[in-house]
Amino acid sequence: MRYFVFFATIIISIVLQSSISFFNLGIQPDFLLILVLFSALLEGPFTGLKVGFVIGLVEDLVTGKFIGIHILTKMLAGYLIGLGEPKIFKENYLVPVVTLFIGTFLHGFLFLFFGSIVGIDISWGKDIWVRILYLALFHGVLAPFVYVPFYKIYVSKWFNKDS
Amino acid sequence: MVLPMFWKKGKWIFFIIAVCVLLTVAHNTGLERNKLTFLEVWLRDMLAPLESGATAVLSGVRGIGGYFAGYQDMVQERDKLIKEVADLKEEVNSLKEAGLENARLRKLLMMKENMEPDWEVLPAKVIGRDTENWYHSIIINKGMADGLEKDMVVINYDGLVGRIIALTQNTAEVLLLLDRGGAVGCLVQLSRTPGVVEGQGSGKMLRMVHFPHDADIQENQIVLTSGLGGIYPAGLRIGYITKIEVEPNGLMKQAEVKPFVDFDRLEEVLVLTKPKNEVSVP
Repeated sequence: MRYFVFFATIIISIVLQSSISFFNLGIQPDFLLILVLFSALLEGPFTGLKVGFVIGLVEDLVTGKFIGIHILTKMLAGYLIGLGEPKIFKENYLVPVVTLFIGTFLHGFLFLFFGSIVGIDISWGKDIWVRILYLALFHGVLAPFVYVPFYKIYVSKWFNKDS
Repeated sequence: MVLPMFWKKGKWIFFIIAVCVLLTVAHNTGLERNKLTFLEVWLRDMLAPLESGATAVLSGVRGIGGYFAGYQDMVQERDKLIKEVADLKEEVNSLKEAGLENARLRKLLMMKENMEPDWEVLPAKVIGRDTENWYHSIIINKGMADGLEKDMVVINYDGLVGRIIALTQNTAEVLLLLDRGGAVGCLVQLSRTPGVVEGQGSGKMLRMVHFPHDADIQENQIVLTSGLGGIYPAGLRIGYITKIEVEPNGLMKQAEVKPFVDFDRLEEVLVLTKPKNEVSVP
């Protein structure tokens, strides 16, 4: 059940991300990243790593460009955010907000770093950081709305059933 | 701690190798590729109908952006319209004001035309009122420079207003009929009963005093200036009688007179500057 929900969530996230234009702000929420970060937040670095790998892989295959870059950045972001897992109280509403803000920034930084290594044409300058900041803020605002249903599903009995 | 454990187990070599492999793959699968892998083709084909359906269904949600962008435009338009409404209100107000002023000036003009055969008249605007409660006077915007002199009579289209008591080069102070110091010789229009009209110091009514006990006067009769006293010409409208009572000494009567002039709303007045022809003040 767990895996089914997990993959269904990934598919829904991809479909949503590619179908909806949010607020004409020039930025799209990265639901897949949110999924990685929340998984890492709830289960720790290795789950972050694993989920990051799977989601990164799917995203790479869907985008079809620079395959591996999303695996790498999502894995690392999931792992690093997961390091905080043992120390935080997960039911505080501020935790997902801060997690998504920091995680998005971290992911953006990793993407720019590894992207420049693999040859993605990045227009360096103030704009790129502002864009990441906007996305981080946007994710921070979205966090409580996404985290509540996510957490409820995560702790529900049927989600944790084996079959 | 998780991180030191990770390093201790020597998995870092695996990690570095994985990173290198991923970077290499990424580097070699840049923007343009000749052929997609089977997995990519399968995934894209699986997602395509879902994405197309979602796009069709959720296209309305794109309106969210438009809604917010439109909201900004609406706010701007609203602010513009609020300003426009305020400007138009002001314009309407000033037109109304001009209309009212026009009506007042017409009446004043009629009065002026009525008075002109006998008097030279000078129109003036009320520019101030007495700041104290003890006197009833107004300030007008004509003074010695315009040929005004002390004791000249001031009227408006309703009747007698008062007389000038002080002058500067460009202004004049007019003592209103309401003031206790502004007594005027008067007579009742119908019965020609003479008397004196004076202010009561407070309130908006005048008092006509000193007429005989048997005088034939009644309520609602009009009171005019009698011309006696040397200041006010005869025949100017003062007011009408509202109440008649016997004076405390029992020998004379007095009456309450409501002035025709609304002293609270004086805006334009006429000053009778000089008598024409053979008209003379007794």
